[in-house]
Amino acid sequence: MEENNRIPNSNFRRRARYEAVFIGLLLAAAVIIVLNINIGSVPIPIRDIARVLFTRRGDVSQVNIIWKIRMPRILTAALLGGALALSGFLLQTFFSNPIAGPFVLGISHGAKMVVALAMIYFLSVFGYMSSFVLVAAAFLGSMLATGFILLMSRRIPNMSTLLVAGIMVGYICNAVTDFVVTFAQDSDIVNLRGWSLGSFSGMSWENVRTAAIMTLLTAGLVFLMAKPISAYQLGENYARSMGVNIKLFRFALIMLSSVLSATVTAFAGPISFVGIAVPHLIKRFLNTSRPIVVIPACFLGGGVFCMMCDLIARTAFAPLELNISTVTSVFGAPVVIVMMLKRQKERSHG
Amino acid sequence: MRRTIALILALTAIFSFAGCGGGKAPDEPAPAPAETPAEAAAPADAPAIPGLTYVSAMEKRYAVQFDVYYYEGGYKYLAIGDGNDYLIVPEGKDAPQGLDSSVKVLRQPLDRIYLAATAGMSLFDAMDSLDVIALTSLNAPDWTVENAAAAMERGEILFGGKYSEPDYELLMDADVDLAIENTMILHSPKVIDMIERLGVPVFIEYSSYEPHPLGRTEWIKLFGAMIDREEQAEAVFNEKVKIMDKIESFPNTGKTVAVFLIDTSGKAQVRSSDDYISRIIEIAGGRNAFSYVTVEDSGRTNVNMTMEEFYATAVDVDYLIYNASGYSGGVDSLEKLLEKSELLADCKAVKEGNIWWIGGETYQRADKLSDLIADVHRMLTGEAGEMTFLHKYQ
Repeated sequence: MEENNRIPNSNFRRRARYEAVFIGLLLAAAVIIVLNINIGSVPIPIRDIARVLFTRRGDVSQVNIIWKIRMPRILTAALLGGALALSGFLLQTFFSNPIAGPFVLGISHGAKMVVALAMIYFLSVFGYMSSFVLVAAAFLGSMLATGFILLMSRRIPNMSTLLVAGIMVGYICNAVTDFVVTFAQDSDIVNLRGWSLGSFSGMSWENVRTAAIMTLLTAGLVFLMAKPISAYQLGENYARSMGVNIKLFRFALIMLSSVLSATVTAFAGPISFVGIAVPHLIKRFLNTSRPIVVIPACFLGGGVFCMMCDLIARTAFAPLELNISTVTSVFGAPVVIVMMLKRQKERSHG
Repeated sequence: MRRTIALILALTAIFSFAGCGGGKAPDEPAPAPAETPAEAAAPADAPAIPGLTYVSAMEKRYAVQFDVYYYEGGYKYLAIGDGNDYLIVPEGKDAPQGLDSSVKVLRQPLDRIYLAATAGMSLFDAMDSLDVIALTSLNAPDWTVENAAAAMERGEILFGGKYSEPDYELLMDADVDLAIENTMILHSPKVIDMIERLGVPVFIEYSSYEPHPLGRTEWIKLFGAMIDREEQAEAVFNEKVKIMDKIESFPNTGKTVAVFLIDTSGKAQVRSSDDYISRIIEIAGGRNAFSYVTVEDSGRTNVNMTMEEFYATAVDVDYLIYNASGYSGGVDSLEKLLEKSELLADCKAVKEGNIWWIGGETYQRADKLSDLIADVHRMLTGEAGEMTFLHKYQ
C-alpha cells in the first residue's frame, strides 16, 4: 500500500522537476533575450528600445541597431545553439560516449576543407566570394563528411570503431586543408582561422529564416524519434525487439545530427563545446535521459547557453569581438571536466 | 523708284540671310562651334551616363587601378580596376535616372568615413583631412600615422573593431556614410553584405595592386575627389613625386639588393619581383637580387623559400634589407638578426656592413613611398642625407 503511494509521489516529483527545469529555461531565455537586446556597444534607453521593438519607429540608427544587428543575431544564436545541443545529445546517445559532440564525426573539418578550397578558388578566379558561396561551401563540406560516415557505418557495426573512423575523417580533411593552405598566399586564407572559431556576427533576417526552417524542421523530426531513441538507450537488442529498424535508425540519427551541425557550421562556423556540455547539463538538471523530455530541453538549453556566450563574446571587450568558440570553451570545458570527474567517482563507488 | 526699291529689297534679303546663315557659303562645311569644356570629346572609356554631360578626366601619372571622370553639376565617376564603379553624387542632388544598377552611389558629403583600409589613413592625413574619418579598424597604438593616433587619443576618431569583425552598432551610431576597405575584405563577404544592408556603401580600394609604388601614393587624388579636396591632394602628390624628377634619369648602379625576413619556422621570405618594394629598388637605381621570383597573380608580396635557397642567392648580394615588421619585428640589432640565422654572417653584405633594416611603420605610409625611394637611392649611392625608413645595422 505504501509502495503504491510512493510511486505516484515520485511521478509527481519527477514531473514537478521537469516543469521547474522548463520554466527555469524559459525564464532564463527571456532574461537573456532582454539583456541581449538592451546591451551593446551603443547604449540605447529602454523606452527607445521598446518603441523600436513594438512600433519599428525611432531614430534610424537605433532602428538599424535593434532590428538589423541585435535581433537577427539573438535569434540565430538561439536557433543554432539549440541545434548544436540537440546534435550533441543524439551523438552521445548513439555512441554511448559522453564526449561525443556534433563535430566528432569530422563535420567541422569537412566544412573547413571545402571553405578553404572555395576561398582560394573564388578569390583567385573571380576576385570575390559571396556570403552565399561561403555558406554553401560550409554546408557542402559538412555533408560530404557525413556522406563518408554514412558509407562507413554500413560496414562498421561497432560504435567505437565508427567513432574512431569519424575522427580519422576529420584528420584527413585537416590534412587536405593544410596541404591546400601551403600553396596559398597568406592573404587568400587569412580569415580561415577566424571563420573556424565561429561567430554570430553579421546575421541577417534571411539567415534567421533559413536557419529556423532547417533547425526547427529537423528538431521536429528528432522529437518524433523520441520513442525509438528511448528504446535504443536500453541497448540495440532491446530496440530491435521493440521493432526498431536499427539500420534505418542509425542512418536517420547520423543524418539528422549532421544536418543540425551542418546548418550551424554553414551560418556561424564551427562552435565548440555547446554540443558536448549542454546535453550533460540538461540531463543533470532533469535527472533523466528520457528523450521525450531531454530533446526539447536540450534545444532550449542550447539556445540559452549560446545566447549567453554570444552576449559575452560581443560585449566583454567591445568593439573587439571574441570568437564564440573562445567563450563556449571557457564555460563548456569545465562542465565536461566536472562531468568526467563525477562519472569516475560514480564508477569507483559502484 | 522701282530700281531703288529692288535694291533696298535685295540688300534687305542679303542682310537677312547674313543674319540667319552666319555668312557661309552653302557648300562649305559649317565651322565648328567654339569648344567649351561641356562639349569636350569624352575619351573612349569614359562612361556615358544618361542625363550627365562629360567634362573631363583626372590626369594621372602612375596609377592604373582607378580613373576619375568629371561630369557637369559636380558628379564624379570612379572606375576601379576590379570592375566596381562608383558615382559620387553632390550634396542635394539625385543620382541620374537610368544609372546602371551595378554602379554604387556615394552621396556627398562623405565626411563620416569608416576607414578599414590602413594605407588610406596617411593619404587623408597628408591632405589634412582626418576630420572626415569617423572610425578606423586599428586601435591608436597600432597606428604609425602620428596624427591619426593623436586623433584617436582625443576621441575624434574611434576604433570601430577589426575589419573582419567591425562593430556594426558603432558604425550606425557614428552615422557612417562610407566604408573604405582594402582587398582583404573580399575574404569576409559577410561583412560587406552586413555593412551594405545597414545602408552604408562599401568602397574597396585597390592601391596595393598598383605596379608603380607612386601609383599607391596617387590614390590620394581619388580620395581627394571623394571629399572635394582635389587641389590639396594634387599639391601633396606633386610634392611627393619631385624625387622622381631627380632620379628618373639616374643610371642604374647595377648593385644588387634583397629585402627579406625570416619567419618563426625558420623559412626565408623574399618580396616577389612584382611587389612594390622590389620596384622601389629598381627605381632607386639598384637590382632586385630575387627578380627571378615571380608569382601569377598581382597583389601577392612575399614568397616563402628554404634558407638554403635563400642563402644561395643572398650570399653574394651587395645590400641586404631585413623586413623587421609584424612577427619578424624587434630585430633591431645585428646580434638579434644573426640569432635568426648564422648563415647571414657569411653573406657579403653583412661582411661589408651593408646590412639594413626597415620597420613596420613603412607599410602604413603610402604618402611617403617617395621617401623610401630616396632612402634606397641614398643607400646605393652613399649620398648624404637623413634616412626616413631605412636603418643601418651597426
